[in-house]
Amino acid sequence: MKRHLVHMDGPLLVVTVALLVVGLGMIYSTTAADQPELFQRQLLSCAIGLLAMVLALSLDYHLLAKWSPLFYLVCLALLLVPRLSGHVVRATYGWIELGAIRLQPAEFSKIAAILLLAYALSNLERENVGLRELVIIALLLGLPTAAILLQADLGTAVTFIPLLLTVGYVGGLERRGQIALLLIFLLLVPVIWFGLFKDYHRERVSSIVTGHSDPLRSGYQTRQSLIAIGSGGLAGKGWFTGSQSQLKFVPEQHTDFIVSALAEEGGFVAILIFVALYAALLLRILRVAAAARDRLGRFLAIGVFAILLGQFVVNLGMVLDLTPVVGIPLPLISYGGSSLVATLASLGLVQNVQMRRFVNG
Amino acid sequence: MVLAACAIFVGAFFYHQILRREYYFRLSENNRLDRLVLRPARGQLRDRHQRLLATNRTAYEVWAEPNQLRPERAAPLLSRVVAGGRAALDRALRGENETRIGEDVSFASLAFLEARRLELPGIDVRERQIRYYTYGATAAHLLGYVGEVTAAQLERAQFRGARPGDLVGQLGLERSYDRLLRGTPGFMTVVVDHLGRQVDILERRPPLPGTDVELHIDLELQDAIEALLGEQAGAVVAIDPRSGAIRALASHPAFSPNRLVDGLGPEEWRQLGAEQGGLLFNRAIQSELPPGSVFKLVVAATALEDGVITPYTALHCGGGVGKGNYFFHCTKAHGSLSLRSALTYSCNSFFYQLGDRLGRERIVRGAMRLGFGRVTGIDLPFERPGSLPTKSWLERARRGRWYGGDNLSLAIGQGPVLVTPLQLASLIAMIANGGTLFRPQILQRVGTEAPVAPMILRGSTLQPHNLAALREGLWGAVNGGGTAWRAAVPEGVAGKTGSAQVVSREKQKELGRLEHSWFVGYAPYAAPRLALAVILENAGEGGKAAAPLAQAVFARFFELEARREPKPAATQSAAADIEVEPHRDGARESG
Repeated sequence: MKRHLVHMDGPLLVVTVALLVVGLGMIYSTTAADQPELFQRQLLSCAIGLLAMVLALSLDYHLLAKWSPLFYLVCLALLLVPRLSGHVVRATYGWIELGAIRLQPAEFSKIAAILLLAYALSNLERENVGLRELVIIALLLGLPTAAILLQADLGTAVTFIPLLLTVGYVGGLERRGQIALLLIFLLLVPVIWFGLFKDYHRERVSSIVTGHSDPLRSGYQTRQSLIAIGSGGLAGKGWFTGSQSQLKFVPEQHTDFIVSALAEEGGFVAILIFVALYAALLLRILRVAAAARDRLGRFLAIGVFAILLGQFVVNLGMVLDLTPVVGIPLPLISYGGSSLVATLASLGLVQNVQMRRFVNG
Repeated sequence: MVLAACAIFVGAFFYHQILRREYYFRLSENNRLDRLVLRPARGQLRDRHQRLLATNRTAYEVWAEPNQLRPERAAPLLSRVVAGGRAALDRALRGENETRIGEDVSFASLAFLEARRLELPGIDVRERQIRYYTYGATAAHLLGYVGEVTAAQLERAQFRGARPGDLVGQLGLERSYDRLLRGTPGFMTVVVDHLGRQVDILERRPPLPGTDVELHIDLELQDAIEALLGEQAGAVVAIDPRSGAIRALASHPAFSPNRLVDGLGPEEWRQLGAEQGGLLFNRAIQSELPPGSVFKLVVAATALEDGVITPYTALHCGGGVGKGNYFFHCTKAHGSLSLRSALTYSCNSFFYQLGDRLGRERIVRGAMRLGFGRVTGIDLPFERPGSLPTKSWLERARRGRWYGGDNLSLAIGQGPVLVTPLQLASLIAMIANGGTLFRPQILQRVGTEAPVAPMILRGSTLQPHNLAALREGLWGAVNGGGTAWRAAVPEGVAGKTGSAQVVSREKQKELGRLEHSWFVGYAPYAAPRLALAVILENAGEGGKAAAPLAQAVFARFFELEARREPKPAATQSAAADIEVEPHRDGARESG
């Protein structure tokens, strides 16, 4: 164990902690006035997350991969529980309540999906991903995605798409597979639009397409977000002094829209530092993937990379009004225990791969 | 890929935060800051005995925010509170901004809404100060009413300082003293959160409330006069002859100012129309009517002052006077009489002869000296000047033609002369007080300042011996077997009646319409404290309709006076004795 720890990726750990600090700082600023308990809860989640990270890196990832089918099934079952118990938080069904703790199984199902996917792909005889393999991948990802969509949580469901794309790409998709993937997407579009979208989803999309048609309804959030960002200027209005954030003009500003608060209070300077940190995090994970000992390790790291990149892109796109508003938290930054713990655990997995990158290790 | 994504995002942040920072900063300040106008309380109006005539009260309004409204649930609840609940809601839902769906809801409705607050998102109850006229329709024309300032009014100097949405005086004293009553609005710059809740106050300048004013009006007298008028169209003006202070000023039909405060529908406005006969039309100052025999006072005064006759000049009445091809009738053959008797019996022949001797120009000049043909300057808006057959009027209306007979008609007030009840009240007050023509004044005091001094328009209009002749004639008309005997009260009334034909006598009979009934007079005779002008439209001869009403007003006046200032017991026991009123300085308001 100890000799493995030596091989941990130090910069990745530093960047992870730095982003945690940024997130905690912004959560403190946006919630201290009226919901001070949120900061304490996030602090607790942080501790649990670091523990989960240690857990995820201490056991050999090969062993974890072997257990992944079980983990996957448990997650799938948990995903269906909230729908049955019918607990509604922010108009979605994605929560399980265990006494004082509320869990979002969707967040954990991402790790389960990454693990199982990597496990399945690494066990293939062939180097390339064919049609049969693609069907397996799509099915493995499709099941939790469908379950999450049933919870009316569009955002989390969307994060599975980059996972599918990246893993397919890295896995070496054949031409027939590429065509099949395209077909699946084309097929999914009307199904999602008419079958799964609620009115407010459609409104969200149409507000992007038509511009700010109704600033007080679907476009309100992004408009307020842009005002917060733009008014921050170069140096920001200062911690605890952003009017858009402190007076709660931006909805969900401690969760999905936390970057707008950072931009307002920290200004362009803070944004540069933050983007640099995130880029470093993602590039570091890619490095781990490149240096991985085997296909399983590579797929694991790539999976985590895909999930994080997807959320980063969609979240910032949403905050900057470049993509539709879907409820996606920014990993490591946004308020939310399940997301934080799951993200730290997945980064633990990446460290796990990095630590055990030497064949004779 | 990572770097490309980061570059795009950094570019976007750069664009918003660096290039468009000013734009967004302004928007964020607009979000954060709210400038509220703090409306001042409007000044109150009180009568001379401190009774509150116009004040302010809190009204509760129901507002709907279309973006938060849940119409299916709200409609059945709201329909119990707001008239046409569903329709009002639909109107609100069509708009983008908050809409007022209920004005001045009852206290019970307010309690109901508060109890159901959680079931009615988007429904808000707000307080507003609205004008309240304590005595309803009493003195409606006098007090006027307030209404939202119109676009045209904002352009005018009178309403300078008003902002759109402000309530300003639209009629009556509310309008003439609007600047005083309105006060100065304050403002408050507040920081609000996303729900519009006030978080902090950055700057606050409190409003300066409007000034309270005190009127010369005696509410009880006003009330009594309005009750006496009943459903009769007409007007009564009661003036204190010693100062020109208006004690009461009534006009019927009237309106209810409280109903105007919140605004009316177009149909109701049509009924109210300020044109002649409309409810907003203030007959006391706007009605321009032929004065009938009351005009004989003007002709008499002019003849005396111009030296055409003396108080002792006797003229003969043989039942009428011939002029040109016409014969001008009198009521009967009065024989030889002086001015006193001519006034007492309202002899036409006497005045035909004065008219003939004076001629149009001198009568017009005399009338103008006594304040006719122009507004009196009372502190009410929209006063009318009446009209006299001046040279320019003649050119306009008759292409300059004026015949000898016209002088005769003019002398008995049936010619082309129009007066307002207020002008006649002013005239009789002048005769009562010894010849001083005051500007009629309703305002007594502004805030806590000293009382407003009476304003004299013309110091001495008549020489004392001429004045005495007029007064004696008026005394006779009431107490000496004259036409106005029905106006008599124990305190001693002097007065003159008039009957103004609107159309010819024959036509009048044909239509079944009676003439306008005039009475002007004052009391007590020796030291007058009240001068009256009464006009009752189409009510018949002055002596039969207007004089009895005047009698009732005088009686009420003295009754109210006695109640306020009980006489010492000694004088009360000697009530049968002829009392000599302590003679006060007639030109100054005492105290």
